[in-house]
Amino acid sequence: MLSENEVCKEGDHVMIYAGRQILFSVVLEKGGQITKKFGTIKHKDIIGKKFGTRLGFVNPNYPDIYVLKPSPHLWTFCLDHFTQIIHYTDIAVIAFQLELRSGSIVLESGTGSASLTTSLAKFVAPLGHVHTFDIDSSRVENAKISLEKNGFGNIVSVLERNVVEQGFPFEKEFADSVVLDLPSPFLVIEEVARVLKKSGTICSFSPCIEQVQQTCSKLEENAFTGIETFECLLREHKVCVFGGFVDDEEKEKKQTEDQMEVFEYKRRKRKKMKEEKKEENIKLFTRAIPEARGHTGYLTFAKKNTF
Amino acid sequence: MFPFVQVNQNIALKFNNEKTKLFLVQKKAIGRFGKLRFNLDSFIGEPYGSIWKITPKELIKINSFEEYKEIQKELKILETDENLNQKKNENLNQNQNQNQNQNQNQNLNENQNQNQNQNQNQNQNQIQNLNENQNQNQKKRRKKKKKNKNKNQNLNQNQKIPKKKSQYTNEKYLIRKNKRNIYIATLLQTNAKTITEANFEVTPKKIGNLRWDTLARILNLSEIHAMKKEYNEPNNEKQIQKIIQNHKDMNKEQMQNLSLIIEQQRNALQESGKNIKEKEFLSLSEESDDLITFYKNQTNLKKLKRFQKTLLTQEIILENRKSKRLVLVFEDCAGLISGSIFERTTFLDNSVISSNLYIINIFREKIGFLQGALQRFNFTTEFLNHHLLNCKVSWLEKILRTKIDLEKLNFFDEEEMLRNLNDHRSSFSLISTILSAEKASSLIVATNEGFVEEIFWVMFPFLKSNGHFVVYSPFIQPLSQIQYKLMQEKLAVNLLLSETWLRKYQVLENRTHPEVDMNTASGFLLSGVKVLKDN
Repeated sequence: MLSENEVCKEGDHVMIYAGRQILFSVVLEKGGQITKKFGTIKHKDIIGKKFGTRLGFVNPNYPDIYVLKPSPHLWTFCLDHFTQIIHYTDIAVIAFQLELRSGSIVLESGTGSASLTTSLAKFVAPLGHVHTFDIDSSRVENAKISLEKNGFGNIVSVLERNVVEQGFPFEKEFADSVVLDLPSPFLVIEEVARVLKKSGTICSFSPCIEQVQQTCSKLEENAFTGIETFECLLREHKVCVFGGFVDDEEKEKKQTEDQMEVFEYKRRKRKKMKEEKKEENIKLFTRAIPEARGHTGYLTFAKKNTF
Repeated sequence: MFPFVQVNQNIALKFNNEKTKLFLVQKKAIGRFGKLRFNLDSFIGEPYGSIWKITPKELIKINSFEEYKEIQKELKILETDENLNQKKNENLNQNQNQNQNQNQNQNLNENQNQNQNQNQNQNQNQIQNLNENQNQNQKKRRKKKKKNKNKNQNLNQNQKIPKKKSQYTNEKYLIRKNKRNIYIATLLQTNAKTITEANFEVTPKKIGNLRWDTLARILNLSEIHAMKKEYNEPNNEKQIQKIIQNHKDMNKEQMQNLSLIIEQQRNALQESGKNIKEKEFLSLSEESDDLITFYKNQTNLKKLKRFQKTLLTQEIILENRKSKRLVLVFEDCAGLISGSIFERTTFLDNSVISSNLYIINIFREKIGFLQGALQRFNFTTEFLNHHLLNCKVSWLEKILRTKIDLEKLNFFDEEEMLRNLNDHRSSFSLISTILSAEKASSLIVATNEGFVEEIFWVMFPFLKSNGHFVVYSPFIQPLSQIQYKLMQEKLAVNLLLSETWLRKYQVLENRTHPEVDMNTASGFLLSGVKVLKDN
């Protein structure tokens, strides 16, 4: 993700995009090929092409296929959801409130599927570092593999550790910011106060309000200031087109006699417009997509004091 | 970046964890917030993140957590359950007393009624006695009212309060009055977060009605990050300084050797910089011929310095073109977006702030405007002069006035598009060289006005394939039209037209709930990835 190559080469990590529902990543090899519902694609056809090209293979039943460079935004759609994944709107809010920049040191507890870690690594690169911890060994291994694929092997270190019982293995005032994605983050706040630098920032992501209440009370006891909780949701809109040229003559034949007069009038108008090549009848409307996430989690932010 | 406050630096103060305001720290400068007046000299040399108590009379730094808690108790921000129960009990006692008085009055009335029934058969003497008793009771009641009045007056000195308020409400009023004049302020650095918070509540038009969560999404979706450092920029400056120092004590032979060096440099540029325009080469070659004659005759050194600087900077630009990352930005948000991009991508190298990212900022105001706005982020002028390239919109405005016919614009032939635009860019040679040599890796358009479409279609051809773009406007209609054209022509992929819904919560024991007031106008974002089109 950090490379500036514009052309696909052998060994590159590449995303193949045919819509958000058909999106997956591939490491290019010489004799390799991809077999999916829409058919097969050979790696030869991809190597040597620029990122953003449309592949020659086209199946009329499926949308066009493109080759793209991997990015954290697209990576979140690819991942297998081992646990509840953090949405990319929440990731943007976290990075903004924590004031991340290149060179900052971040501690994360609860890697999960490593979607947040990839974006944190990108914000922090090339001089910073991210230390992540997780209880499950399988998740740790999968996270290491995915992070090395994306080129963050030098920037991220993944460890198997129970932070609640064992704490962070670092000195006092080591980290610039800490991110907690735990079922009981209020048990770790004393340790976080030890590890954070002065005026360092903390973020805890928790889906339940009871967790938030306990964490806020613990933060106040440990002399954190600027405590705030937010909830951020995304609302998508869709563009709908009405009007234009419709060549469905079969549909028109099925209409009743009363409606035929109307359709004949419209048909004459369309003929005129075809001749003049005008698209005046096209109207665009936007409406919100009804299916949306109602709740992802509560984000609490705080700053360590300078006392 | 800076751990302590310095003179002529911008700072942000957050009052009671609610409102933020920006200040410029200068000697003998006074800061204002409401009725408060305080000297900004006292912040010099203090660390960022420190907490202060500000009143109309004094400005005190809080050095311990215990002091912080005591001040919060004065403000009664932290209302614990004990205090609430005490107040409830006081309220109940007052209500009970009132009820007792009412019951007494009722009893008196009942007694009066009974007496009246009895008095029908009494004599006049007995009636007079009863009336005297009633008068005495009325006097007692009046005395009690006067006592309560005096109590209220003592509490409400110099205040106009209606008489009907109880003692509890009067105490509450005094607490609120005292609360207005005491503030707990945290000293913060000026960054994107504090600047948006400071401006969005008071003057959102300055920022283009851009809320901080949309700004966060713009930075995330545009895929901007700091690159690895592949070139040695300060070394080239050192080379220039060495050359200048060496010129002071030079002989004829050395000057003649310099003329040869200049010729070699010019020839090397001509070979490497094929994408540079002929006009620029002609101008440089004319200067070089003049200088060569100067050095043969031992004349002025200043021109040599300028010429060598221009040559070397051109070399640096061309050599480092590959390691550079370009971002095109059109914003109507007072430098917020470009400043936040720099903030995220800068790093300290030998106590020098540097970045591997260059922004070409296209805007409609004067050139000096944006640099002044970006100084709120405490960037130095040297940094801005090197990394920020300001481009006037005079050539864009001409195209806008002629009303671009989008149908006539051939989206296949981007070269024709560039040729048409090159005629208007004769004054911006450096920007034209960069853009003709390499295209931008990301594009951001943010306006508060209705001409989003025209600007987007003028800037879109300068974006690379697989480049991320983000368009912001508080109105959805132009974005929907842009999305329709992109979908129709198959120029972009992963298109997303969206807005965010942000809500803040009050978290207290047994009293957690979302805040009553909420801002629903976040603006709309259109994001996507540019894609090559098959010819």
